[in-house]
Formats: sequence, structure tokens, C-alpha cells
Amino acid sequence: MKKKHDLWAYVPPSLKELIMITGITFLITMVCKSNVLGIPASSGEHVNKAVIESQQLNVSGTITDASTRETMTGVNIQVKGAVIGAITDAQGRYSLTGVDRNAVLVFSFIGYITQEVPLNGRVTLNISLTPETVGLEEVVVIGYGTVKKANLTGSVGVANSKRLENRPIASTGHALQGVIPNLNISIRSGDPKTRAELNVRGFESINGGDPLVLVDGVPMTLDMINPSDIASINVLKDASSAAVYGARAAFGVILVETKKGREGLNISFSAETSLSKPIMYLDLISDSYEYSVLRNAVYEDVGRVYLSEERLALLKRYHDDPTPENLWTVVDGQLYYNGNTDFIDYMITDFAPQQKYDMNISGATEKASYYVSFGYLNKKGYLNNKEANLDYDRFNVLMKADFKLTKWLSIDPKIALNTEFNDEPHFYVGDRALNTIVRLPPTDPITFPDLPYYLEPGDRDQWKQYIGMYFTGARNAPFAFKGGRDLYGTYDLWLTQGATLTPVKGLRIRSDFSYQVYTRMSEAQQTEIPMVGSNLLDFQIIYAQSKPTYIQNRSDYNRYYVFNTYGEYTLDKFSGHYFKVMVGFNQEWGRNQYIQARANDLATSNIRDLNATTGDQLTAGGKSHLSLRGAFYRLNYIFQDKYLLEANGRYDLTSRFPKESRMGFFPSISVAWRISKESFMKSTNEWLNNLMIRASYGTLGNQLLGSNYYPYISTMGMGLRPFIFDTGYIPYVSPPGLVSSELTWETVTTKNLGLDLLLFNQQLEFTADIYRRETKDMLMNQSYPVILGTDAPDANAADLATKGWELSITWRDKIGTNWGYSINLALSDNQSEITKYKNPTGAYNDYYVGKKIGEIWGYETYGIFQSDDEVAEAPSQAAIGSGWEAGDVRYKNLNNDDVISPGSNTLDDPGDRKIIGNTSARYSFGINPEITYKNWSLNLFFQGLFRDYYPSTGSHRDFWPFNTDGFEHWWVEESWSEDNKDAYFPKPRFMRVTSNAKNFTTQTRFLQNASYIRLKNLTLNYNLPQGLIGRLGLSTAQVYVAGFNVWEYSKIHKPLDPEYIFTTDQEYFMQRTYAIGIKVAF
Amino acid sequence: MKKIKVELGFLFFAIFLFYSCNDEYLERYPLDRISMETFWNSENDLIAYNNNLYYMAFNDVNVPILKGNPSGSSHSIWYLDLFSDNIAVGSSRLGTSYEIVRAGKHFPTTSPRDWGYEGWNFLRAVNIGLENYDKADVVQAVIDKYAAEARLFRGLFYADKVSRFGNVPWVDKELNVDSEELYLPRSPREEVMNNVLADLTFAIEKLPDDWGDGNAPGRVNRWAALLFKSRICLFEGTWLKYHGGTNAGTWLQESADAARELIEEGPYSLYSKGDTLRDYNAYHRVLDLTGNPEVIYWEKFEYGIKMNSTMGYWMEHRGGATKSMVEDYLCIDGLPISISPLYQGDAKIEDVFVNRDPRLRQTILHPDDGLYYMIQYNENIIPGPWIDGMTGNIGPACGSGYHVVKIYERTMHIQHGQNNTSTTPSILLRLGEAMLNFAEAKAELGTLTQADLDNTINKLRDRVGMPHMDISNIPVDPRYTGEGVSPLIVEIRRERRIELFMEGFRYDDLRRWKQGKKLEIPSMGILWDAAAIARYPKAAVKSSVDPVSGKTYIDIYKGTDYENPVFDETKHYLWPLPLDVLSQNPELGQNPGWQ
Repeated sequence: MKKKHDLWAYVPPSLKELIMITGITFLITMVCKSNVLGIPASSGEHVNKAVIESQQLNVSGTITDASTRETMTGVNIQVKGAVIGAITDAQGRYSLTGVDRNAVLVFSFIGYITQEVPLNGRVTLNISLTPETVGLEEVVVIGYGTVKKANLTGSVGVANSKRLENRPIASTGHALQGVIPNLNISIRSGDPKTRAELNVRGFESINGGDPLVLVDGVPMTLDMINPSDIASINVLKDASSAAVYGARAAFGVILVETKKGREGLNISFSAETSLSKPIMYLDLISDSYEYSVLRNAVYEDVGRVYLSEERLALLKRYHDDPTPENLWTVVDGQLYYNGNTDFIDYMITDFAPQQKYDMNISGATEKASYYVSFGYLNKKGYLNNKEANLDYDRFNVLMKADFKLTKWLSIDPKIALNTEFNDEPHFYVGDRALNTIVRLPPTDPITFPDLPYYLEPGDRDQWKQYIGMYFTGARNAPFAFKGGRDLYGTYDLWLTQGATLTPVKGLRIRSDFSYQVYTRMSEAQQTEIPMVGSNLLDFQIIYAQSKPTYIQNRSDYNRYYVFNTYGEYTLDKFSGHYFKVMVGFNQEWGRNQYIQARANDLATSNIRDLNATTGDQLTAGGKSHLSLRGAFYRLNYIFQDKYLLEANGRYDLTSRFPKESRMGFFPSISVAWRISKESFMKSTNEWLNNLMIRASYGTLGNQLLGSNYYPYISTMGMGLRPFIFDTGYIPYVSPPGLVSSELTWETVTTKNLGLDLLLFNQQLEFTADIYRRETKDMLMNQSYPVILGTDAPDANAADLATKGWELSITWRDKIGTNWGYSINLALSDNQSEITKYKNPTGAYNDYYVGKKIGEIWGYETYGIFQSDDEVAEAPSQAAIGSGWEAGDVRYKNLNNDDVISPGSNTLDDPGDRKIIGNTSARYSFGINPEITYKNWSLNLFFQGLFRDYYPSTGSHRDFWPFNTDGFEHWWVEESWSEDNKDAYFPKPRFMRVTSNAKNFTTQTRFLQNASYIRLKNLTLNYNLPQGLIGRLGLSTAQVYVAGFNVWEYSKIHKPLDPEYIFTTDQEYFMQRTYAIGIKVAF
Repeated sequence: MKKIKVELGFLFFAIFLFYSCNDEYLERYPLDRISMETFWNSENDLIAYNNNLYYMAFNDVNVPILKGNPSGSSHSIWYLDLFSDNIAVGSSRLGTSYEIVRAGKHFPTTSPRDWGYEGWNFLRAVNIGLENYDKADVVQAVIDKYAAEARLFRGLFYADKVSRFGNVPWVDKELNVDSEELYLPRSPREEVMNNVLADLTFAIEKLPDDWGDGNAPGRVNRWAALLFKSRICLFEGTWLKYHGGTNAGTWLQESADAARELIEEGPYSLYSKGDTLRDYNAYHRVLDLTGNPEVIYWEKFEYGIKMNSTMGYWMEHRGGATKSMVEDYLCIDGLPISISPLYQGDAKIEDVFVNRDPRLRQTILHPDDGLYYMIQYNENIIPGPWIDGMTGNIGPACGSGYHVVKIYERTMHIQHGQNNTSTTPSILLRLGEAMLNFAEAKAELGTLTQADLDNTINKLRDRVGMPHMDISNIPVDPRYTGEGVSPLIVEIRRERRIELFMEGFRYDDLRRWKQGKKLEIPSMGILWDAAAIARYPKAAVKSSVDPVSGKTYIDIYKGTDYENPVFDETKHYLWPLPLDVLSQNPELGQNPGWQ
């Protein structure tokens, strides 16, 4: 088997060198610079020596709270790198003896920002500690700049790095769920490779779309970066705050800032190991005999027999007397298995491990700062087979520096390398879904048995060679455990150079250029897997879908660059008047290309390479490019800190539209009134720290075209088709589709009204926003008569309106000196409605004017027919299906026409259907309580929402009774029978016969309440006492235990998971994860 | 301050630049695609464009004009007889459109998919080709060859639509969203079929006799076009004759003429090695038909590149022939079983084969033939047929007891029980059909001679060692005297049913002969008496009494939704238009009886 790390071998040598050389150069530069700039090469050694040799001082002082000016009790003071320490007394005083004159003192207290202060020979050191709370002075990152929180006029959601710390999450997306109101994150699978789906403020367009994610100003994939490197995440929600990003900001903007170097030399290391288990609510009938009797009964409905009387007798014999002799029987040459196969146990591991290591080194002086970090994540899949299990690795390297070269110029280079490697069983055909694996009949054997003899005594030698081989009936098992591999490695390298000019006071000019090289090498190996059947008289080796064998390699090579430059000028000279002007320019370019080669017929399964094949070969490739250009501005005016005004705008140009309609202009404006600053509010200043109302209005554009880079250019398809004529592949060219010459931007207009409140010494923080967003000229799939012969080009023909609100409340308090607690509630809601759409027939399964997004149309259930007489008397249900009898579902006659029918599926004639629910998420919430006691802290995070769901009735879907080969206990217990007339489900029927789906057509009875609350996170953290770790030369040390998806509550019927219902194939269930981690810093 | 001015000046300059920046940097054209402007140059371009038409015609289930065995689906030609009284499936696959139509339980649905009112993308591709072939820098004769392919395909496309829906809108150019054709009513059948005839005539005029591919499956030649023409004209001629219409004779004559030209002038002959007991189905069971003298057009498959599921699906569908089908085979004296003294009855399945047309035993499994066809894996296995529900050491089960072996070839079924690993080729056009078309058209015209019969049907009979049809001594089968057609036509239709069994003609034939009522007869299987129940232990089949004979037979669809088939003559000869199509253009109007 090819090991995954061999993929490194695929990296073009030039790129490899580039990575190496840049990395090494960077490190050398750091080391040299640190000497030049006066950072001690090894501060620990330096201090130790100093204690012995230098003059020692007695130090004392008082610690106060920076916001309240009150003295603080119980503050920990530590001499860095030494065993000396102290705690403040009831008056906030402390004293230390025998401290080196050059020592650094560390002041820490739970809930406050830790400070490190060099003593520099002083004997009195009074310090005020700043609470870690989100203060008004906090700086918030916005598009092309920053702003004080107090001066924020738009709607911006903020999450700091604390949200990402000490959590057993594989990627950043998982951590942000429920944190920022109306940043909606759905995680559709427990697969570590699955990206979190992001959405800001609800349904935006019928064409879908994602928010723009910018990491340090360049577009990146959120889940590729290392969560440990993130300093803050800010979500720009309304048009006003996002306007500087123009045409790509229609779905909101997520700004991620990475960490910077901090004063001194900081080295920290963390390690975490966790175990995950799929969350499954299955209760399968595992006894073959019980199962087969039941399946025969269900089959009777369609005139079939699952197992004959003879087979049943054999199963019963083993059921009653489970001895090895009874396990296998040969009848007429047919090998029968009489035992009970537990596929779940065979295929799925109890716990999938994950490991995470992070190391970072950072430091800063007045002249320079640097931050270097390395992160490694390894996650294994759920397969109960070490060799074959999915193995996913992520490596992250981030190197940042900032050099203040002169008073007016600083430069900041940055290198970010994100790599991923994945190695998992090759996807043959059919599916590898866990859903299928866990739903196989217990009667199917897995491997060829070892028996004393087979057909006749003494023939064991002849059969010995097959022992242990998989039966074809073992479905996915042989493919997953014995097959080839699907591998990929991605290398996402970003090189950035930034420069900041501050030529005169008030003026700041910033430029940066980033270049991305993205390569992805993937390989699919379809090797042959010999399997056997159970007919010994017609015994043969079967390869099933594992033949023909092939190998396929694909390599993607993408390049992208981003150039930003902007200047801002602040004028704060005139009392009470504050002006700020920012203008800037942005240009981006991208080019993607790929080459793919496939060759059939591997010479041997052991050598998996294009060269080692003998069959047909097929190659493919492609390239595409795009470019963007934009200019933007922002004007701020603040009068007496009370009246705030901000105007934003952007001109955008995109290569995706024809020259004439290429430009778009997207302006916005916002105002705010800080009432608490008014003189008439003076009396409230004691308890009211801030009261501000905000309003904004603006328009953004959307060029939602996905990977369609040339929507206005008509092109013909071409390629190779297999074997149209005599042999091999032949080339073809297909006609072009229709394109529209009138395409233009979708526009999204948002009105936002907000309120910020800060009360009781910043103990209570409250932010609320209400908004209305109108999406106009959405590109719409136009319906034309089918004889047009192709899809009509999309036209800008539909409108949508979304209304919503969001709020965030935080309360923080301390009880005595040892206890502290806080609680945060984030709550949001939104609802969208179509306001313009062309649907001439009024078909309700299409969009129509007035449609609420997520509507479920269905029948109202009357009940279950308790007798055939009832069937005869009830309105005819022939339009839904035939063969109705006692035990089937009875639908309610809503339109009083004596028949139950779907009508013409239109609004005017919906038959007996109506709107019975809505799948859109409502009232999404996150609740985040935290309790601290001395060195302990406990952090909980609950997340949830409200919605309806109707389970898919497609074949093999796991909710519906007798729809798959695995039978659940509750299918039997909850199905109608003469003895169980109050049952939830109708009488057992074999679902895979189309006509039997009649009982499950969308209706009120089986509509699920998919609302849930889930304990997403639980972290118990312990900071080791300073006295202890000081002796070890550490500045901090933490140990934590954490859980992810620890608990949930929902009314949804098993086996559904309320959070994970929208994927059609449950390939990878959600997982519960438990972790233990340590974190130390020097 | 001066510095500020410089800096600000620079910035404003940048903004100014930006306005003039809608330049070439933002012009990004496709790097890996061709356009209409850069295409249509050489003969190679024409070939590549038409290759796509072939691909769609073979593989698009919505364009069933070269319907072979598309991969991974149950849309192969071998399934088409499921619409009819020829074959039926056991219970495992109930609910497909085949059983629904067979039972007359279909109704208008919203999706164009359901009843085949689609494939218009194919028509568009043809029309775009026809509007652009002229641009190529090659001589007219070359352009005409490819235009002839395209027009043949358009003719086939429309003939299929007319057959199903009657009147259909005629479109012979590329449409755009503002074309008025989108909202016009349907064109009358007569007009569309005249256009079809013109397309076929053009194709026959311009297509080469031979593309130089040695009858490996390649491009369609003139002979293929002639056979298509005889098929389509026969359909239209008999449709007009039996459903009422004018000019039936013209169409029948066109059919006969086309067939005659193919039979007399074409390079084809019936496949025969002189083995009357094997020749009929032998060439249906080989992988490579290159050089086969009878096969005019076929689709080839190859393991690993292009495969199908036909064999696997067919075996698993448990399909079997019906009693009605089996009873239509003559006895070796040339007489139907109703009057032949040689008929041995159907008390047990072996009896059915005694003294019968040798094609029966080359179509339906005789218990002694299981090993020969490798359908019975070895001699230790209970001989077939194996009925649904039987378990133990058996071969593949079948619903009716009449297990079809006509196309079964185990070696082409590379991996048993695995989908999409078969390499069964599809014979799309063979000379045998031309002979039957010719005889039928002439008989309907009333101009059939003994020489015509000797040149066609009697050749088919010679291949299997059956006595000749003698125009002066046509047997009268009492079962069919009430059908209102002459015994000669009864026998020609019988010959067609036997010879072309499972090749996809029966349902269309019954419709054009206006014999839909035959579909109201339930699909029965073998005699199901005490002896049979004992012989096929555990068989899970249902049975009914045959009203004609009073005996009990397997009743394949009994107990299902398709138990009592109906055929409403006022509507079932045509299929319904999908509701969505009607709502997009109400001018089209629904077919009679489906409103």
C-alpha cells in the first residue's frame, strides 16, 4: 500500500525548494533579527544567572482594577522564571523580597489580562489590571482597517480566540457554531474532511451562496487554517460594514485575524488527544431467526419469501443451540450461514482517535515582532480496521513578522502553509455509506468459514485456500478493508508581503500583496478484490465492481494573487469633530488548471502506477482564469463622541460579465447616536456605561455564478466518448447552450437597526439588531417549453425578502475572591419569502410569490384505517396508491371532493395538501455559561434551533420501516397490527415496492420536530499553581478535559439526528468526542 | 503638509486610474473550450459533431432511436416487450413503467420523463448541425453525407414521437427563448410524417453504401436507412389503415419498396450455418458481430470500457415468456396448435416443445438445455425452469416458467449478479426484419405473391427447418378468425411475433394493428396443476383458471396492482402529454381520453 506521505513526492521540486528556502530564510532572519533587536537569545538562562550574580531588591505595590479603580485581592504575582511569588492582600497590596533588578514580574488574575512588567530596578510597582471583557475601547477589525468598538455603526459579530481554545474540534468551522448570532453553521457530516457550511443571516438567494472568508485580508478556506493561530473572528453582517467588499460581500464577510507576536519571548506548546464515537440511535434486530421470520411476514405482502422453511429451521436450530456445529450447513452444495452477523461491530470501531499538537514561538520589542507556529492534526476514521481506516492529517505553518524599519515605514512578511493529506478506502461503486453498512441483514455471512469438510468428508484441503475470503454478500466490507485507496494531498501556500507607511501624523498607507500556490494531488486506485459466492457447486472467484482495475491520477495547480492598497487619514484636531477618510484599491487574479490521467488494467494489485497498466488510457485536463478589480472608500465623522456617521462604497469590475455591464457600484451609509454620552444622561453614568442606537442602509452586489467563469460566452462541449463505434474512445463535440447577453448583478439591499447597551460596570452587555434584506434580480432558471431543447439562460427575474433579528446578552460577575462566572446568550431568527418569481402555473413545488423558504407541503393524516370497512367508506385514495386495507394510512379530505388527491399540484388546486411545516431553522441559539474557581474553570456551550423535517422516502433511507435490509426493533413495536391499533406506523409493508410508498407520502403524521439543543462543548480547565510551575521554568501550564457533542435533546424520532438530516446519504455520522489536553508556556 | 498632498494625490491618481481600468486585464476568455465561431472547418469537425449524435442516440434513454443496451439501466431493447403480451416479470421489479403501461394504469404526470415527451436536446443538436455543416470547407458531397446522418436521426426522432403522441410540434431549426415555435399548437401528424419521409428519403439518397468500416459497428449506411424507412412507413401505413386515415397505400408502398431495395440490392443475407436447431439464436449470443451477413447495424460493448447491465437485470427480473407467446409457435407441420394433430398439449413443460417450430426451443428454456446454455451451472443442479420462490440448488428463477434463453450467453455476463459488467451487444437492424416488413406491407396492399413469400418469410422458415408458407393454402387458426383480418395476414403477423420476439416490436405492432384489446388478456405462465406444484416446490406464484381451456395456469400479475389489465381503445393507443409540458404551452392540448 502506498503510504500517504509519499504524496509529498508529487510536489514539484521547484515548489518544494521554494517552501524550504523561504522557511529556512525566515527562521534565520528571525534569529538574527532577535539578536540585533536586543531580544535575549535565551531569557530563561539569563534570568537564572542574574538571580545569583546581580543585586537583589525588595519590591512592593498595589494592584487595582483598571476600570473601577478599586484595589484587587488575590492577584497572583510571579517572578518570571523563578520560584518567587506572592498574592495581594485584602487591601490589594503585595510585597516580594530578593528579586533581581532585571526580573520580569507577571501579574495574573482570572478574568483579567495577564501583564508582564520588567522591573528595571524599581522597588515600587503599582499595576492596574484590565478586565478581559469586551470593552468599549477594544479594537474591532473591519474591512480595510480597524475601529474602536464604541464607534462601530454597522452590525459586526465578534468572537475572540478564547472561543477556539481548549476544544476538541478538528476545524474552525465546528468551533464557531452558535457563537455569533446569525452566523449559521451547519455541519453535514462527521467526516473530518467535510467543510462546515457557513451562512450569514439566513436564506439569501435561490441560487445559494457562501460568505466571503478573508484571513488577514486574503480569501482562504476557513477549515484549512489552524484554529490555534486565530486571534479574532469578525463577521460583517449588514451592508454597511461589508460594503467595502462590494460584489462578493452579499452573503456577509467573515474576517479572520491571525495572532501577532507579544512582548518578550513566548514559547508555548499544546497537545491534545481525543476519541470520537459516531452518534447512532440504532436498535437493530440482530438475531437471524427472529429477523427472518419477520422479513418473511413482510415479504408476504408482495408474494415473496425471504427464506424458506428449511432455512428457517436451520436458523432456529442455531438460535436454540448456538454451537459451532450448527453455525454452517451445506445443503445441495449451497453453503448456509445460520449465525448472526453484527456488521456494526465488524465494520465500525468503538472510538476514532484524533491528535492535535501546536507549538508557537512569538515575541516583540519596540522595533519588531514575530509569530511562528506549527500545528499538526491527525484524525482517524470509523473503520474497525487499522490498516484500512481513514487517515487524515493536517499540517499548518504560519510565520509572521513585523519590522519597524524607520519611524514612518514598517514591513510585515508572512508565510502560511496549510497542507492536508488523506488516505481512505477507494470508492468503488454503489456506496461506502455507513448508512448501508449498518443496515445489512444479520443472516449474511462475511468470510468463508473454516469447516472440517464442505461437500464431503475429506475435502477440506481443496477448500482451504478460500478460508477467510470475503463473500460477495459482505457488501462494503471487502471493498473498504481489502480494496485500493483514494489519496490526496493538498498544499496551500500563501506568501504575503505588506508595508505600512505613516509619513505624517494621521495618515496611514497600507499595501499588501499575497500570492497563493495551491496544488492538489489525488489518486484513485481501483484494485481487484477476489471474493467468493456461497454456491459450492458453481464455485467461482468473483471480482464484482473491483474490476476492471484502474489507476487515476489528477493534479490541480491553481494560482491566485491579491493586491490591496489603501490609505486612511484621521483628523482629530478640532475639538469634538473627528474625521477619517479611507480610500483603497483591490485587484485579484486567479488561474486554475488540472491534468487527469487514467489507465485501466493494473498489471498487479501491488504496483499502483500509471506505468504498470496494460489497458486503455484516458486523459483529461482543463484551465480557467478570472480577474477582479475594485476601488472603495469609507468616510467617518464623529461629533462629540455622540453622533456617528459612516459612508462606505465600492466600485467593482469582474471578468465574469461582458465589458459593458462589468462595473457595479455599491454604496452604503450608517449612523449612530450614543445616547449615554448626552448631558441629560449624566445621572445614569453610574450604571449605564453605554447606550447606542445604530441604523444602516446599503446595497451589495452578487455575481453568484460559482465556477462559471464565462457565463456570457457560448462554448461547445468536447471530449472523448467510450466506444461509440468499433473500439476505444472517440472524440466528440456537442452543441453550445444558450447564453444571455443581458446578465447583470443581483443586488442585495439591507436595512439594519441596532442597539448596544453596556451596564453595571460592563457586567451586562446587550446587543440587538433587526434587519430586512431584499435580494433583487436574482438569477433565475427560466422555464420554457421543453421543445427549446436546452436550458434557457438564467435571467435576473426573481426577488426575495428576508426579515430577521439577532441579539447577544452577556453577564459577568465575581462572587468573593475565588468565584467568577459569566453567561452569554446568542439568539437569532430569520425568515425569507419570495417576492417576485415567474411561475405561471402556480406549481407549489417551484418557487412562487409569497412562498416562505423551507415550506413543506403535505397531506393531513386522518389516522390509520382500522378495518377494511373503513377503507370502503372513506374517500377514495386511489390517486395516491392502490390496494388500501386495514392498517394503511388514511388521509384527511381537505377540499371536500370525495377523493384524496394531489390535485394539479398548484396553489389554485392543491388537492388535499397544504403547508404542514417548514424546514428553515428558526430561533437559533447558543448559550455559553462559564464558571471559574481559583485555578479552575468550567466552560459549557449549548447550541440549538427549531425546525421541522420530513424524512426522505427514497430507497434505503433509514427512517422508514422495512425500507432497508436491517430491521429495527421499533419498526415492529410501533407498526400497526390487530393487536397494536394505536401504532405510530401503518402495518408492515415491504417499502421497496413503489406502490407501498403510498403510506409515507408527505403528511402531518410523520412530520418530525427537528428542534434540538445540544451540548456542543464542555471544557474543564485547571491552571497549575504558579508556585509549582515556576519551579519548572514555566509561565503557565494548563490541563483540560473536554467534550464535543456531549449531550442532546430532541423530539425527533430515532434513528434520526436532528442536526444531521439534510444529507441524503449518511456517510459519516456526527460524532461524540472526548478529549484531554495540556498546554504549557515558557 | 506637502507630503500629505503628494500621498493623497497619489491615491486619487490611483482612483482615476481605476476608472480607465476596465481594460484587457478584465477580458478573460475560455482557455479550454471551443466556440461556434472557431469550429466548423474540416470534415473532421463534422465527424466529431455527428459522433455526439450517435452517442446520444445510443445512450440517452430519452432518444430511443438507436436503443441498444444503455449501461446501468433497464432501458434496453430487451425490455420493450414487457409493454406487451410477450413477456412478463415476477414480483421483484413491479412498479416500473413497463408493468404500468402493460396494465393500462398509466396516467398523465407532471414530469416529461415519465412518458417520453423529451429528448428535444437531441433534436436541437441535429438542427444546429444542419444549420452549420455548410460552413465547413469541404465539397458538397461530403457535407451531404453528414447532413444525411443528421436528417436520418431527425426522421427517426419524429417517427418515435408521432408513434407515441400522434400530433407533435415540428421544429427544424435552432430555437431561442423568443421563438414563436415554443408556443404553437402541435403540427398535424400528416405534416410531420411527410417531413419524416423527406428526411428519410434525403438520407437514403446521400448516405454511402459503405463507410469502409467492414460492418464493424460504425456509422449508419444507406442500407440501414432503407430498413428504418421500411419500418417507419409500415407503421404509418398500417396505422392509417386500421385507425382511419388517407393514403395508407402510399406509405405501405414506400415501406415495401424500401424493404425490397434492401433485400434485393443490399449485401446482406440471413445468417445460417445449416443447423436448424441452433442458427436462429446463435448469432444473438455472440460478442462480436463483425462480418455477420444478416446484421445491418449493431452496438458493441467491451469489458472495462463500455458495459451494460442487460444480462444481469434480465436474469434478476425473473422475466419469462407468456403462455400466449408460447402458444403462437406453429407445429412442425406448419399448422397452429389449435388445429395441428402433432400438438402434445402442455401437461408438462417438456410436452410444449414436442413437434414445435424449432425457434421455440431456441427461445424458451427446455429442461434438457440448461447445461447447454450454462444457465444450469452443472449436472448436480435441479434442471430448470426454476420458478420464483424456489430455493436451494437452483438456477435463476423466472416468473412464468417459460424462461427466456434467446439472448442468454453466460460468458458475456462477465460477473454474475453484478450490475453493469455485461458485454451483450445489441442487434439494432437485421435483414430478417426487412423481410417481415416487406411481406406484411405487400399483404396489406393485397399484392403479396408466392415469390414474395419465398423470398422472405420462407427463407426465415428454411433457416429453422419449418415448412413453407403456401399462399394458396394458408391455415385458418380458429383462435383468430374473429379479428377481421385475412388468415394470410394473421400468419404473417404470427411469423413476425415469433421471429422478432424480444426485439422490441410487439407493443408498437399491437397499437398499429389496433389490437390493443389483446393486452386485456392477463399474462399467464405454465400450467399450474398438482403435478407442477409438486415439481416446483416452494414456488411462490399465484394462479388463475384460463377461461378458454378451463385449466389453471400461473397468473403472473395476480395479487398486484397490475392484476386486471385494461386497454381503453379511446385513449390507450396514444400516450398522454405530461402536465408540465401542457402548462408551459396550453396550445398543445392533451391527447384524447387523457384530459
